[in-house]
Amino acid sequence: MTSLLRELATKREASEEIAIRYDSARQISEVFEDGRWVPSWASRALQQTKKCDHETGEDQKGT
Amino acid sequence: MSGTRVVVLTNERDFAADVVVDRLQRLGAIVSRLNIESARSEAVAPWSPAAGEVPMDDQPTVVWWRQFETDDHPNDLAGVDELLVERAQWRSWVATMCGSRAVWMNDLWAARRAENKVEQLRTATDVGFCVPRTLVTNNAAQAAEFGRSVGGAVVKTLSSGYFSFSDQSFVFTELLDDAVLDRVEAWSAAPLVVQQHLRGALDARVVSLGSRCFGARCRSKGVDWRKTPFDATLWSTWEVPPDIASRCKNYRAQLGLEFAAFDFMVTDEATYFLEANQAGEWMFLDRVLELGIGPAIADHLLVMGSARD
Repeated sequence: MTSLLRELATKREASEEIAIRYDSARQISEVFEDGRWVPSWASRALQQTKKCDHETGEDQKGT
Repeated sequence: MSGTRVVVLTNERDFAADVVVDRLQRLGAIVSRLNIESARSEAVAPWSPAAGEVPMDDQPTVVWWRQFETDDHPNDLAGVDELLVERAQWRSWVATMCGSRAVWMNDLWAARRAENKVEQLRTATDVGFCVPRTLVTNNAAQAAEFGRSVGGAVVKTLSSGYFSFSDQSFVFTELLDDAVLDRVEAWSAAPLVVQQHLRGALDARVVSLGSRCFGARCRSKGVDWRKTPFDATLWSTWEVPPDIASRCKNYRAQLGLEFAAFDFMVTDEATYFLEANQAGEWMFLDRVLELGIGPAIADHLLVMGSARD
């Protein structure tokens, strides 16, 4: 039998995937757009991506 | 403050940390971002309870504890088991950094206490927040009776409701309706939070750290704004009323937190406390409203380090 919690849950559809890499020298993530890598905070694509795709902590650390 | 050593415990996809790390570096801090991805693939600093057993060079001044885990989805049961066991080891390992002279945002033990929603509601009541009428129960009849007594209710989880390893679905706040109440036998499996439904109220999020407070509110009329795709046009800055800002600070003081993100429901009559997440997200608001939370966090970490020195 499906649990009540499972029944209450909503499946979230992911946004279109975007290219992301981690720059270990700068210690920040970068997003590929317009033919170049830009810091995550400067990315337009990331801003348009659903919050749930990248902020998976759901406002809790979870552990 | 230049030369302050800041360790950031997080993961490679923590975009909020990107902003803070960049500012810390610009301000001259020595930043060591320890992502769980690299911790799992390279040797981390050894630890021993005996003084002098291991080198204690490069001790951090400040530790900013974010999300020291990844959202992996192993494709079989054995993989899930392994991941859970590994996570448990890292969860304990984090405490090896507590014994150093570093100050934390947030304090590890205070944070773990503050993540408990029962404790959140208890503390919110203590510091004088308006709290919606609430019942924690695993009984459908009790939930139904409570719902009737408050003129309608919503239901939500008592802890994280994220089905990480199957379909990544999430339990948002939902209306307590007949479809939910009709699952009488299923209710006993786990306790849930049943709370007075505040019709027509606006959502607000307040980030409180140090002596600063940042507010935003959402015009969404849905039961849970997170359920629909993020719509920046629904959000606007919110000047946090002084009494609310003051209670946020008192709440943090009571739980020993440097930082917390508070969720409220705002009606014409009152501002109701829903929950306060000690690691709550804020980047999605900073991006569209330019509240300045990221820089404020960086600055506060340096102030904490300076105070420690």
